[in-house]
Amino acid sequence: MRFGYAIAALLLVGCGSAESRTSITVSAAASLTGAFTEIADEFAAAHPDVDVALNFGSSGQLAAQIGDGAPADVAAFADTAAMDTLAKAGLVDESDVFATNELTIVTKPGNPSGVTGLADLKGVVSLCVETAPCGKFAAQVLAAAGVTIPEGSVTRGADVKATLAAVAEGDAVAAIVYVTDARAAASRVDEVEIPAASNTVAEYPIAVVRNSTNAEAARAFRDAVVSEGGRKVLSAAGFGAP
Amino acid sequence: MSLHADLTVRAGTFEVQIAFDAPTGSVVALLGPNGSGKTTVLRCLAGLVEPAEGCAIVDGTRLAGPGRTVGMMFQDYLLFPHLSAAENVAFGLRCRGMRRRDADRAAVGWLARMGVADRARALPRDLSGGQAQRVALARALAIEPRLLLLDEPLAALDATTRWAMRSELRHHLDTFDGVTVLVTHDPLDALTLADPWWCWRRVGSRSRERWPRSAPGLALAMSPICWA
Amino acid sequence: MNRPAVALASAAALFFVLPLAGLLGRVSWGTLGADLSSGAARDGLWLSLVCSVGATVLSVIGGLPLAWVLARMRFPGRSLLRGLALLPLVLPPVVGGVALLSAFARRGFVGARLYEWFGVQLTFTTAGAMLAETFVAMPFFVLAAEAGFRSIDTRYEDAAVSLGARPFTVVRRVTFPMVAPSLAAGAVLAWARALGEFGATITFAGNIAGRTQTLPLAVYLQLESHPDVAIALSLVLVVVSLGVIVAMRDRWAV
Repeated sequence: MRFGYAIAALLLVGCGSAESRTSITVSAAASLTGAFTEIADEFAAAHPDVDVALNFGSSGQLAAQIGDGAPADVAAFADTAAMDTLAKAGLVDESDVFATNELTIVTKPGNPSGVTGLADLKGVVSLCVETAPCGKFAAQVLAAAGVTIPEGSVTRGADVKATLAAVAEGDAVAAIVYVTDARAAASRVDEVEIPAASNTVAEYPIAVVRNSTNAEAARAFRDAVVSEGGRKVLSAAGFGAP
Repeated sequence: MSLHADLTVRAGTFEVQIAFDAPTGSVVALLGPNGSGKTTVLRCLAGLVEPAEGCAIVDGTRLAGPGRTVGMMFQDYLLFPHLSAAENVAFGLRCRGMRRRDADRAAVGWLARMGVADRARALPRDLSGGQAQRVALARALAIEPRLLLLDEPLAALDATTRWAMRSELRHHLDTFDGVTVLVTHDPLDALTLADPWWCWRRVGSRSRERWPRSAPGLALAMSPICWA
Repeated sequence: MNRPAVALASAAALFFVLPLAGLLGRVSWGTLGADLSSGAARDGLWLSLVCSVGATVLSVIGGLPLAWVLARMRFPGRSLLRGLALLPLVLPPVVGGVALLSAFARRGFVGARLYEWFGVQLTFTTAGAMLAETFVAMPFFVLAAEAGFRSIDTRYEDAAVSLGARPFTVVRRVTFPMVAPSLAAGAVLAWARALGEFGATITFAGNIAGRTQTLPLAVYLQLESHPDVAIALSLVLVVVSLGVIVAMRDRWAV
């Protein structure tokens, strides 16, 4: 009997603590991994009653997941198009652009293949899948520079981190990734700038998902991202201001 | 044709010493309880294990390595399960370089002699115990060995079949002109099939480890039914 | 006791059946033919066939002697060798891919020599995809073949020796025919595993359409852009896997 009480007490304690805490899921583009992890840490310090779960992936994939009903409270993408899809489906309200990013070429440390620009991309080049914003932007950048890479020498990463890993870990000659990812992996890759004329500015929108069960906490997280502190973290990671 | 054997074989923890001579046409029975090392001696004569000491001499030629003219029939026959009865019998002939067709014809001939020609195309799993025994004997005899080794030839048969097969086996052994060494735990087999029989006798301690060498000369002794 | 067991068993069975039923429900049967003959699908199907069959052949060539040594020989470090050979069974395939990279990539300690001496690069090639699939598939073959070699009574080989068979003849006419069913089962399992390989392949060989983009990779990457094609390819993989299970039922349903 005493044992039964003990279990009941434990259950009560368990329920009590669960009730006072809320948890939100933030689905964010893979290129935001470093910055959002830091912002989430600061957010958790300021809001000890909120648990933040970060879900990183390609923006296209994350949008598809949310479209399929995967629970997410905040969506932050590397592409306004992915957010527009969700807005059209009525899954998010208004969104704010909170950061911008540009593309760059990365090579093995020391640039052993002597890549100086887009026209030098020979051998196997790592690009994001076309459904991910980084893939779409890379295609835009290559088109603007008038460079065609045959599909047979393109290995496609599911998101920007996988795309970069093909150079950092694998044997790809070069990859086209975001400036921010190149900077985060500075010890493993070298950066070759893409001239502004052919570069693309990616806009990062953030929005609270409409059917969020913790809309209040979700809004608080969005505010933290667009706040002064959030911007500081983002610009340290290499993101541009909107 | 004669056999002179003077061997010491080791099997696991014990050692067996054996020495005997057998004249042409004789059937020698090695009689002893299970686990006394009889089969090991037979495997040694068949060239499957090397003797620790000594050797076996057939017709003045020392037996060494496989491929010699020794035919062996194993305790549960060990017919190759994926080969038909005829293919089993032809196996040894094919190993000796005979062409497939000739080997097959000879195999069917041997099966006919054993009275199982109608089972030539059957797989071992479809043979009765008696039929399997006849096929196994045919397989051992087909290579025309000078020395025939039989390991518990009747042990796998039920009581009724065993009775019939014993006299049939006796008949085949009578027509075989080489030396036959037969291993059995059944005194009746030894009595009915063999001319002299040699039996394992246990002397002194009953523990198996103390078998042969520790009791010199006692591993084999010439005497009838000799253990209780 | 039986009734609760039946209830729980039904729940467990549903757990397996429902996702498959859901997949079937999403197949657009009308366009199935067109989906499967679309460029990416055709490339993926063909490439998967080539790579998985190649990986199976490599698994047999390498796995047969390995299984023989493990089953028939006694030497120090045998358990260690078996553990290493079976490691890919439990290793996450992506880790396998990373491990392959560190050995066979251009900067890997083997890959560097291969490139330097023979100009051979395995990463981003169909051969590399085959190698990655072999890495995860071979243990299945080794496991089945070793069990096969262990299960046969070695006295049959003695019988063959006593009939005058040379060692090679014993293996060819007695040992192999007797373990053939185990070898076939192992090869089928290895093939099925190779066909479904994803993690090691994408990590080591990359994801190049027509060269290293096998069925599972195509499913993963088509899921956003062409979900119908992805579902159609998934259906192919389910049907093939089901076929393997049915073909092997005699070995598993004792």
